[in-house]
Amino acid sequence: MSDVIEPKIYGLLAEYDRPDPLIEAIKKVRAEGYTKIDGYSPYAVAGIADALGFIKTEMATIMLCGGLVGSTSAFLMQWWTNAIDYPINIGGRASLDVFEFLKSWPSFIPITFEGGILTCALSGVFGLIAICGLPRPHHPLFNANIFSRCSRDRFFLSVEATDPKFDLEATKALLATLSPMSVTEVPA
Amino acid sequence: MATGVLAHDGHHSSAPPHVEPLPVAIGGQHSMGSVCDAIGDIATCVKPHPKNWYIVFGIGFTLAAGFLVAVTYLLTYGTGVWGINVPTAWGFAIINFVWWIGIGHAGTLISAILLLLHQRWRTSINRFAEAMTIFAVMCAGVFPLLHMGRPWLAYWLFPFPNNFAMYPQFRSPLAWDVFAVTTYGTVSVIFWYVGLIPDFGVLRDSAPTKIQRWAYGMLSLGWRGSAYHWRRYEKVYLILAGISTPLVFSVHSIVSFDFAVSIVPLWHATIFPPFFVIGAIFSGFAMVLFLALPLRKWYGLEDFITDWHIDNCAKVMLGTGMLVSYGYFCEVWMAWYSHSLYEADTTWQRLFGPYGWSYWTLIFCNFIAPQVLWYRPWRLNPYILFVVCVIVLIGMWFERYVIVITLTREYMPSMWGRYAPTVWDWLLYIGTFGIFFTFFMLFVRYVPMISITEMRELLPKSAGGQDGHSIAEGPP
Amino acid sequence: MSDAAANTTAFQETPEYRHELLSGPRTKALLIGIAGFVAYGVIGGALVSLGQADVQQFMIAYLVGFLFWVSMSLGSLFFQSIHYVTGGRWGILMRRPMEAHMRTWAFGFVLFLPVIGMMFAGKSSIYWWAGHHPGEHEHAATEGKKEEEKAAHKEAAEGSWHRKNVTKPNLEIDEDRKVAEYLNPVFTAVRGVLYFLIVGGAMFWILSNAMKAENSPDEEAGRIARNRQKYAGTVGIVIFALMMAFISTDWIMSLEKTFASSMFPVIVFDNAAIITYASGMLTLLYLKEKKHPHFENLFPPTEQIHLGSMLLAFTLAWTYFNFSQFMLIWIGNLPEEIPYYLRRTTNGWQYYAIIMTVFHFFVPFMLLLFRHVKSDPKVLRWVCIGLLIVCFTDVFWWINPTFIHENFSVYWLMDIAAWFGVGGVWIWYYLGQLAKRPLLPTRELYILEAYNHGH
Repeated sequence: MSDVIEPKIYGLLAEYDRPDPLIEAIKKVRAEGYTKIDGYSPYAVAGIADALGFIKTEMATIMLCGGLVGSTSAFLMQWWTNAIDYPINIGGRASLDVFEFLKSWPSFIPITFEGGILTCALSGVFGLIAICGLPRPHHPLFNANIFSRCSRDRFFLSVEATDPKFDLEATKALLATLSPMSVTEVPA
Repeated sequence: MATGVLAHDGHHSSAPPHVEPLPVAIGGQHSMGSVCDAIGDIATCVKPHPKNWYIVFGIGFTLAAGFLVAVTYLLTYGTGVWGINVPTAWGFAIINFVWWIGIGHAGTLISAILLLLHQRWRTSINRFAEAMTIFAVMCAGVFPLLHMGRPWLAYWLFPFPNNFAMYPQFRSPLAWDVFAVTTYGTVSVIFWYVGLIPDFGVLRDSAPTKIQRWAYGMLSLGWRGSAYHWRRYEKVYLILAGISTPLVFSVHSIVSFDFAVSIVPLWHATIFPPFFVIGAIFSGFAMVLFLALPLRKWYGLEDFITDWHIDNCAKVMLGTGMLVSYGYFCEVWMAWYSHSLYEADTTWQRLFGPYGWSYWTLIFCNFIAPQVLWYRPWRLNPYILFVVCVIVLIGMWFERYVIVITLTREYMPSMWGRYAPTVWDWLLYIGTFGIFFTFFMLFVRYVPMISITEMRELLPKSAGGQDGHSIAEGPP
Repeated sequence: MSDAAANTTAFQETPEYRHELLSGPRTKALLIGIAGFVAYGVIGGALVSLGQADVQQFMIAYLVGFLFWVSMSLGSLFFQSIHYVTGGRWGILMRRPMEAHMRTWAFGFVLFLPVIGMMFAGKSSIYWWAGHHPGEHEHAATEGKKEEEKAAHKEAAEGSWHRKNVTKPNLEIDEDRKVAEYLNPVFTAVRGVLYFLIVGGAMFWILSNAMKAENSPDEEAGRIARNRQKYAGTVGIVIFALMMAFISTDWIMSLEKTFASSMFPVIVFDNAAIITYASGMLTLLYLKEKKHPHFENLFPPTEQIHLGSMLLAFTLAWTYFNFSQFMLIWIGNLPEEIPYYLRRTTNGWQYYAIIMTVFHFFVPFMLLLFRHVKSDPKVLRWVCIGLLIVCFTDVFWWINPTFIHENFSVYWLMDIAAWFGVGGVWIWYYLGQLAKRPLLPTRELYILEAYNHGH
């Protein structure tokens, strides 16, 4: 355990009812030097993540690797079991002159493809859940009653108390200048 | 309501006067909150369910009981209770398998391909179309499992280390089927669930009872709408759509390989893969409309499933129907062109043999009947459209019937035979409707049947939406 | 609306401006075309006199060149019809190239005349049926029979996949009736002319209706014409699909004696689609490079991505169709069909197949998957040119392996020369048609403008 005293509050929430003022607010808060900030929206708004400077995600790479691993192992499985470990010759189609060593590779293609798709999808969804730190049914943000409208029709800017620049009064004052509908303290 | 020629592409603010108005993706005057309520209140039962829900659920549940009877009887006495025999050894089992799995494909098509094509009209129908996919795949899977005779040994189909020292035979399309259908079912569930996560978050925050809040909260995995999460989520969703598109093609192609890999005349046709895929989409859209037309009436969802959606689905149905008809033409044409004795004779048997009536039923259902959809007022008439959908669903069932029945008259006349299903075939088939409708009605009851999240994006900017910018149009 | 968009609207395109833009490449194309034909003659003459090729190679090479370019014109009917039915910005950008492609159809008929000649060339024709007389097979002692047996022996000796010991497969195909009923020169030539008339009629209808829809001074007549476009599109697609089936059967598939694959017309269609689309894309990219204000503003990288993705889809479809046909014929292993792929996986053709798989699928797939490839005009242009080349290799692959090329020679130089020959003249004609009308439909410009600058 560290000696850092747990902050009494999780952070501050500024409320908006449209995405555009939230994007503006994020840009200004970032310009002030805050780093532990996040935007919350009921649906995906590209501009919010852009304003936060989070442009590229790692998901495509994860899914690509997952797919390649899956399709390669699917092919090797078929090739090793049906052509090497227990070779069977079905209808004379044991091999094909093109790529002799791959044996009857055309008939292995369908499962290779399906295997790749399956692992790609699985790595995508499990990767997403893991990287986002989900499932997390109890997040401090849910302590703020007002946050329940985030899933409905409100957009929020959060500044976390762990931010080095965070100072309850000063940050609150800063947020108040960004024309929010309200500024709320979120208990930890 | 009018559909402009370039309808779905117009985002123009200063349109010249001759421009027709944009089609309506969301009718009425909705705000973000009212969208949540209109869709979410159905799932949280704040809005009472119509009488018809209970009727359909009751019928479905009864038929599902019939399914259990059919399965019990089958497992007690074996597959001999069916009408299958040599030469038609698959019969109803494969007809119904292909039929159900074909229906499932429209769900993925709507979700994935239309997302990639930036078609805004997918948004309000994709959720229940995906649910339809999952339940249809479930129904489809039942048939090959039961046809095995000893379904409790189904795990033999999978490669696993075992002490028989035997592996599955991977050069067989039946082994491909196992992987294709398993993958398809899994990816469909994943795609559906990933789309549902934010919606469960909505219900968690709006549900009236504590149990609902807890259940939806768990299902939402604690989704809180962080911009970081959204960006990753969008990427995953888009790639899932990207891989689901070839997946749909591959799955039904593999189903078609079940037939085409053999050397039975008229089965061994190279056009089978795309022909099957198109047929699947055709029947799937018929099923989507079959479900959407009553649902939108019973639940008053005309604001979300507008005439524009119905019209587009009907157009897709018409287009795919024409493509399927091209397939019928191609089959006969190639059989004649090749001047191959067996191909030509089997074609003759198919058209004018003892089962010729089924071929002409199929031509009527899949080629002639959909022609009424050329006329816009008929497309928009729910009753006419509903009847056409039913006819198409019957026609696509007959398509598989015609293919399977080919086995009764192929190479050697001494091998010719007849095929007739028994009452147990029919009960099992009708029973799967029970399974399907039971699950579907439960889905309608407990899960938002339209994507709340994406519907709010479709709202105009003045109402807090994004003017219909789909998820796919974001940066890389 | 931004300043750039305002400039776009203000820009008035004059015919002189268009000619100035297009006359350069037009002349070049004509010169290349003439050079190609000269090379075709010279190389062919040299090869024949050296005994490296026979007269048939002239026909083969010409057919390859002709089929490649005629499919470009045919593909435009498909794209224009699809655009009318489904809409979309890609179709507005592509409209003029597609219309100009359609107007080359009549020119295609002139180039078809030598193919009719081939159909009547009797025994020396590349079409086996041109010199086939019913009842020929009954006389076992005839020369043809002997040759056929020799060829069958050769095939068996050179190695087939699974039937090493079978010398003559037992075919249940009635060749005499096939020729008598369908593949006789007169009927096939008449059908060829009919295809040109039917497709030409559909194109003429679509084009004249498009003129009315865009330029009619009478607002009501214009509206009716615009409404008719949807129906014109559906009719266009139906005609296209049917004609594609017949054309690919008559002109390509019939080169093989017993081969009949219902997927084949679909493969020919997909190739035509790639050719047409890539050529239209090259036109747009050229106009953008030449700083045509409309294309600079209205064909930005985002639109390139949209259009490039369609190219990717067609490339994937190519793989799907070809793999399905190959796998099914390979696994079915029927004596009627398997020779098609036997010939294409022996005698060195197997390496050709591998190269084609790499460059027709893997390379374009890996390139077009990435946004920065599609959004860079220069890279995208090279991808399009590459696709045109591999589509040519595909046409080459349908036709050349059918014939046994005795010794290794450079006969393929003739095919390439013929490709440049026909192509140069074709592009010359195409660009001439393109220069006749404004390069973007002014009527629908606002849709592109609104999309690119509206928000």
